[in-house]
Amino acid sequence: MSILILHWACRVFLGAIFIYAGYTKLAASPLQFAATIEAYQLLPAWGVIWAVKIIPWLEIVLGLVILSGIAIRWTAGFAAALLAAFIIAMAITYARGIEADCGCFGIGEKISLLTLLRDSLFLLPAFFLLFVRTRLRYSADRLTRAAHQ
Amino acid sequence: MKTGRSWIAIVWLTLLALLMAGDRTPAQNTPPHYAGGSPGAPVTIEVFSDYQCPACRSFYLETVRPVIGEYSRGNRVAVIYRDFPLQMHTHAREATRYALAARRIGHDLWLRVSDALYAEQEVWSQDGKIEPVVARVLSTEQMTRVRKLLQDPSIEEEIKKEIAHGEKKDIRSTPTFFISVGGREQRVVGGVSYPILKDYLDRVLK
Repeated sequence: MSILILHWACRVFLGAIFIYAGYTKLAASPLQFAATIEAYQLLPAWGVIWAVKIIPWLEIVLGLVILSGIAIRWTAGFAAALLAAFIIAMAITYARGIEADCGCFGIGEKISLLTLLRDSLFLLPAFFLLFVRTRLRYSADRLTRAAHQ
Repeated sequence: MKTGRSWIAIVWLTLLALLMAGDRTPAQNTPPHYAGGSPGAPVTIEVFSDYQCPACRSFYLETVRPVIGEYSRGNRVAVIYRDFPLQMHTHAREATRYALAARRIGHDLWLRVSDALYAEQEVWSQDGKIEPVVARVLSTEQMTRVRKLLQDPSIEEEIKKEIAHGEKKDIRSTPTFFISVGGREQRVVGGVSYPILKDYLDRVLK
């Protein structure tokens, strides 16, 4: 039972984090988000232009899918990979001594050990959802399975 | 008793309304100076910049200048430059004084001096020798006039007004720019490269 509650809590937490992260990026101006990504000095201009268009919507859709519980292990795996990519990009920028905004949840938050640690902690619920198998309750997956049976 | 309370409430509300009205009174702003384009352009970019800030240098030389070259000639984009010398940059204010003095002689001289200050920022920001950099792009006569204008206290007043205008717009770092399209203003903290700004401008100017 406690595993089920933990599983549900991880889903809600991770889903909400991604939806909120995507929302803050859409709420900021697209140029502001572009400036933030460009400050990392990791992508060429065309890469920044595409990242601005894709990342906020990807985060929102991913958050909604995680909340729904559809193919949760796959989506949790994808979320973990996305988080890992963000953390690596932040770590490289931080190690190079570039003073850039994290851009994780809006603007004005510089990359620091604290932001790196915080984002790394987000991997925990993703790994939990990826590796701990459970019979899902209150998920779209369970509803669709029930409909098939 | 009830009438007394009503009067107190009315007085309080009046005071509150006066205070709020006071907040909304617009402060005297310095007029905008167009580095490119003119009023009436469909897109306006207002940049708050510091002559000694390295990010402002690359934003001006690598992004704003090409934007002026490609979009301001047909007045599709107007570019306003505002001075916001940061205290952490010891020579920024002096550089601003030179630029403003040059602007009082002529708009083109302001642009010429701004170009020189940004282009040779690495040199003068080290040794603080701004005058030789400015002198290189002005004639002897123009330089004499600039030196005279530097003594004018109204130059310092103008800088203070520009800084006050920036503070009112909550500028905390440079470059920060505002891009206005169709009455909608976006705030961008930090610079962006030319291809990114061009992609944005091409989309909004379609």
